[in-house]
Amino acid sequence: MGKKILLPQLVSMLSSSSGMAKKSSETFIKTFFATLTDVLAEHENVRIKGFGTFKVNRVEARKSVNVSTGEEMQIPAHYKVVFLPDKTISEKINREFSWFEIVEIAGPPKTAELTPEEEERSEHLGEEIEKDFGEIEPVEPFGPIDPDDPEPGEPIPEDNAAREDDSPVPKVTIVPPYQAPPPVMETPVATATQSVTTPDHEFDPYKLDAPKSLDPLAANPDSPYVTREELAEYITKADIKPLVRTVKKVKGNVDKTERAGKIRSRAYFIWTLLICAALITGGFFLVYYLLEKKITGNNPEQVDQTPGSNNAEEDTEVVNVKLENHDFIEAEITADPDMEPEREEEMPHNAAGIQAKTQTGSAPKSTSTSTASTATTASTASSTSSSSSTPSTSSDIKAMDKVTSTRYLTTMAKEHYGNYNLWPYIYLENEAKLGHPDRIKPGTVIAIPDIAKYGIDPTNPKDIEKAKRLSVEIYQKYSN
Amino acid sequence: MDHKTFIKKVSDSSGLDRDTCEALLESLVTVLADTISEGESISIPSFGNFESRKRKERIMSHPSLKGRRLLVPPKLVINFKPSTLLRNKINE
Repeated sequence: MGKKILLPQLVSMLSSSSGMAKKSSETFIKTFFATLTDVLAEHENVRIKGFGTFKVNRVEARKSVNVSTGEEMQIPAHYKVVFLPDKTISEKINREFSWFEIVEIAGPPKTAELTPEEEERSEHLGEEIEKDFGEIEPVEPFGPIDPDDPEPGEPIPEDNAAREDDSPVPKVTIVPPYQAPPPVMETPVATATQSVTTPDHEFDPYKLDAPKSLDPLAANPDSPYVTREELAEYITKADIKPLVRTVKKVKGNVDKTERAGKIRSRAYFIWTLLICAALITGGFFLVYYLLEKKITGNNPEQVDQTPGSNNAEEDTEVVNVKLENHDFIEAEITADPDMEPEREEEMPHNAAGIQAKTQTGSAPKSTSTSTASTATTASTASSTSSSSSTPSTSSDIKAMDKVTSTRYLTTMAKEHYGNYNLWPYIYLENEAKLGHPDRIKPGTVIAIPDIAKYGIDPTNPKDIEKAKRLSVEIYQKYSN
Repeated sequence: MDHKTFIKKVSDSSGLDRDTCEALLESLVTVLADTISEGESISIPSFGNFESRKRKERIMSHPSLKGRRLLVPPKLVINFKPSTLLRNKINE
């Protein structure tokens, strides 16, 4: 208990905190508590949010003793006012202590049994300690111990914190604290001081920033639990056995988690190694593939011709390139379906396959290295794109366009129709001279039909769906 | 009586408007919390004192916790002591 703050000081604190004038603050305080008194006088409870609940409780009559005369008397039934603070304010008040945590204690309490010699010794332990440490002054950092605060072993009163919904707070009874080692701790603390301190160390909880360690043994010097070293000093080994088991458990848990942590990190280490090995192997494959390409002078694979596609009119070769998306071309590297079969399936609206490199004038290499083709699924086995540039029919034609390394059917659809999903209709229009939609030779002239010819409205989402289904059909044709 | 009604009553008696009352109440709570957490007490004339009390650390052995025992750390709590005037008024 420290200073007592009176009304004038409270008024100034209030006005500085709220920014209101002193007069208003004073009026408020006076009215507030006057109103509160009136309401409570009616025996009505008041609940104030952020503050707490003021309750009026009835106390039954009870027998008592007149302290001066010693004779029995009766305390009549009456009412008393009780204040139960709200959660908000309790937390605010307890901020300084909020870094404490509730710690679970392992194991049931065990009572230590002392031999008669130790029993004898325990009575004089206070002197022994004072011999070692010098006289220990009891320190009361919060002022004298609250006389109303129950002694250990007594049931504690209803915990002050009221619940938001006014549901009853469960009563808590405490079990007598763990008795071991009674001689060590109790005698110096027997005078019910809060902390035993060595003379050169001042414990001022208001000024603490953080606990030195999260170990409850270290944070609470007057906790009934002592370290094994301190124990060993006062109690012989025979008596340590039951105690150490308990203490050990607390420390043993720490070891277990440490070991588990070590095992876990080792597992992570092994996995990381495996992944690295896999990556390196993959890297080697890539290098091998690239070298192979260089050695063969060209593509490591040729592609089969499908029936019905115009082919080999020119000496151009078709390089099959699979594109990730229609904004990105891998000009150098041809996609090896062997390595990336999954890419085949992914792109329903993919742009036309582009011939990244054309080699004019070289002899056509007609054989297919079908190993690659047959190994893959989907459309790899399909045709090369047609090489011709036969002129298209000129009826219902909106425009003429040409496929290049940057312009695909989807680009054209986007430009002419406003939605790239409508490329299948462009494809249909030019189906005669196009093979696989993803493998159209750059330079191919494309006729862009009027989309109304196919009964499609670019703004209708249903038609967009139609277009998407159509594209699926087209691809399916080539995957057979 | 709930919060709203009470604030209304205070605002009617004091002549201050409700928002001012709420604001002042908030500051009151803050001031109270700061004072109490520093170990000091506040005395309201004809009403009572708000004091700080320290609860020692204790071992809690609650049956609903399946026999587990918890070491509850020490904490500061606010305590209200009604003044004689208030006590008498209650018992009229």
